[in-house]
Amino acid sequence: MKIGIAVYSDGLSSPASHSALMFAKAALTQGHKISRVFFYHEGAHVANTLSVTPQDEPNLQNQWRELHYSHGIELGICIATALRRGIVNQSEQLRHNLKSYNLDDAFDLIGLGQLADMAITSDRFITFDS
Amino acid sequence: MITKNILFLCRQTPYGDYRAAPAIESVLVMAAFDQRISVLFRDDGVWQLLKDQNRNHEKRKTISKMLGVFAEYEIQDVYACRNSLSIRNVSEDQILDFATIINSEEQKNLIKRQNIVLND
Repeated sequence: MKIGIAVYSDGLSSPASHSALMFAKAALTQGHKISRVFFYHEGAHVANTLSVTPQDEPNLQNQWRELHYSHGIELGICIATALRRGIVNQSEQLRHNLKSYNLDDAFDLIGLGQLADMAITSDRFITFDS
Repeated sequence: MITKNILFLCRQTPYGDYRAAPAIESVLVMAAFDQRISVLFRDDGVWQLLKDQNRNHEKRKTISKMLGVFAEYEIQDVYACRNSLSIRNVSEDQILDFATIINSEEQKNLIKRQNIVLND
């Protein structure tokens, strides 16, 4: 089954982002395919390379990275959501004349059109909200 | 292109935490993909339906104006939860005319008919 996942929460204010990660791993273990993970609203913070997770706590960014590089899962951040929260890639840094960029290389900035595409083409679509 | 029944469940206040406006933008994007869209406003989401909103003084988007373009996108299935309106003391004539007020049973059937339910 092809599953689309949307994550609306960061890793600090609710367990939703952790739950999404656990769900994604479980789904892959059972042989399902995950088309894309779409990070919306506070979910964008997971891609910020300037955040530091204490060593004795789960590092969500690293775990999503592992899923991206081991299973080819596309990790997309809503671009409007990301820019509002200071999560930018190099091209957005240049476009908006910002001091630096901080988007993790496993993540892409994408538009709502890709959310629509994922919702339409997945067999199941699940949202993890706070 | 596959056509699905997609319901947006809008439950956030219009100007509380900056989630309502992006959700309405998602509705419009999804409609542009020729999907069968329904929108249900319930819980605090019913505040989004109030007439005569104006946030121009704060340079914020006025949600009721955003909702006003639904017809242009051929989004006709717009619903408001009767109970959510009632407990907030919002009357039928205070909300935008194109919203149909439905009870819990009708909402249950509406959700049952969907391929996908998205929240805001």
